[in-house]
Amino acid sequence: MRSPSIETTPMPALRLQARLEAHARWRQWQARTFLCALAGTLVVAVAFVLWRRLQADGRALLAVLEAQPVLVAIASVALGWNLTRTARRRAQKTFATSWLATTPLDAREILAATRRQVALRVLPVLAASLAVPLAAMAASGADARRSLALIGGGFLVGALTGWRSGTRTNVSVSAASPRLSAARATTSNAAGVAALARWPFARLLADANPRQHAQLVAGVLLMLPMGIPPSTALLIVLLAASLIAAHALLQALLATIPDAAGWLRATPMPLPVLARTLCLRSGGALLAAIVLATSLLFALGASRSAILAFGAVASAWCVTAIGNALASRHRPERARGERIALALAVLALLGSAWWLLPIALPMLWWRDAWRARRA
Amino acid sequence: MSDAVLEISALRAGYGERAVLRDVDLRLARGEWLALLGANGSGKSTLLDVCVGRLAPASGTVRIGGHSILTDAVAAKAKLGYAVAPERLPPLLSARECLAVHAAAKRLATIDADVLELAEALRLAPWLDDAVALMSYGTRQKLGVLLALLGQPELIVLDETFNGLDPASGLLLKRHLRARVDAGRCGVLLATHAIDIAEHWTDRVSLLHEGRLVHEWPREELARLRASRDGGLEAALAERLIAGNLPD
Repeated sequence: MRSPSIETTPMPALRLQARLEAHARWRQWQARTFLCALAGTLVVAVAFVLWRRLQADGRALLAVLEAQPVLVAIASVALGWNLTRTARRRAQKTFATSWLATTPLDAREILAATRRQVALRVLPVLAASLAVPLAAMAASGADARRSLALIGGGFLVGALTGWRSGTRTNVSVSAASPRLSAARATTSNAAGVAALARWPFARLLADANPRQHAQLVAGVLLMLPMGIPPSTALLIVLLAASLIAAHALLQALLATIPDAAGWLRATPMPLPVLARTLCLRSGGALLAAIVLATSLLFALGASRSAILAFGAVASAWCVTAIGNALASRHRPERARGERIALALAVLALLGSAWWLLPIALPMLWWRDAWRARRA
Repeated sequence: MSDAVLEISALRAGYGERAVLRDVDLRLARGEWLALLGANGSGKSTLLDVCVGRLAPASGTVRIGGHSILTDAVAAKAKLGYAVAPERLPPLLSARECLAVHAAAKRLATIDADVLELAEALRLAPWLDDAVALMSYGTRQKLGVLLALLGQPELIVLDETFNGLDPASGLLLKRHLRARVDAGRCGVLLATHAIDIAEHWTDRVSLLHEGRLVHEWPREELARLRASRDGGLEAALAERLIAGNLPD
């Protein structure tokens, strides 16, 4: 069943619809976040197995297939589930937004067409998933039956559940009174402030492209030299992830500022209040990401000056970009004075307040003490 | 003390070198509904943008409730309600969040009860928790008007607000605005192309032509036009615009 609220609403901005759909999924399906974390843990576990076995005999795929049958089965189920579900949703959405959507096609015809499209996307992946381990095991002379059964069975189970999961039911739009009474009970000031503070995060989730981010992290993983300690690899991946998150949040905040400023320009909300309300929470998250990145750099053994320079430049970059966006889009008639004030503030930040010192110095002291103890 | 909610004098405004408004003088009293008519590109939206502080004028003054929109913007905007255009509403927020943000911007403790009642009457309640981007054009128009009505503003500024509204909702909204105006709670400035609204619901109609206010139909003349059987305000407007019966 398709979602009536999204697919039958006459909205020309299909791209925005897709973003909103993604946003709604992020908000409503927190279980998926848990599944993603679980999958990430599994990937890390597989990576550890790979490194250990590679050091032993260099045959990573066989090592995983033979030593971790449960992981293979889980991965197969997850692959089948996600692939089928994504293909089905994409096929249904393609039909819903196509010129055929208004024609009186029979529901069975639509279902058959959807099945065909899903099969065309899923079967090649299944074939490849079976062929690669088969070839590897045939070359090594190992018994492939158990591994193939695990992969095929897991994929089949995942595909069947993926075909049926995530279908949406019709939402009744007739219940007016309960929603209205809830709105009346809302304390608007707190709710308004919270809504403004949430807006950059909503934009972040709506604009998020998990596939692109996963590709970036995978690229970082591929660039790591063989033989690197797993803990170092994990730190590097975490560093990349924190930088990607910080960049995405900054982009979302910069995109939100002109929208919010333009929308609220006719209200008596002053610039400092808008800035504080809109940026405080997302700015805190940005700062946390920068601090995490600097901590990871420290753990990776970067020099003190490099860590401090990175922290100062990253935070100054964020402050300047956010301040400039605020000053140029809100109250443009006063933008020049605000820009000058902002520039002075940034100069003061860079020139005198090495604010990272209170964070970095204890860490540096701890590292030196630890090294001295080891020596 | 003056009962003017909007006072514009010697206003000139434009975009860069291009002058759009020239020597505009306008006054709107509390308890008065003024319709602004004019051809496309005559400067209606520009005039409204200046009134609400979205565009800085080249010269002249704009005062809302006695406060200058330039030098005392916060106090002026506290008395202003502006119906945000549907395309400018934040697409990622829900209608409820939009109302809450505007109420917070106007420092209201709660969302006005009469605004929520109007939302229910306009059948907007089922959409309160939906993202703005998923709403139809008419639904977003309703939300924009509700935002303008928050906080008992003295001046309500509407730009083509009745476009896209279904007839029942349009009638409901016109009656609501008329009641507010008749109760002396506010003045309404409406830029529109809808002659019937200007003729039957407003107290005064001004014609903007090439950036200048060139004619005005006061209350008495509007009453006479409504009673006439030879085309009313539409004919009078056509006579002005098409026949070129305008001052230089």
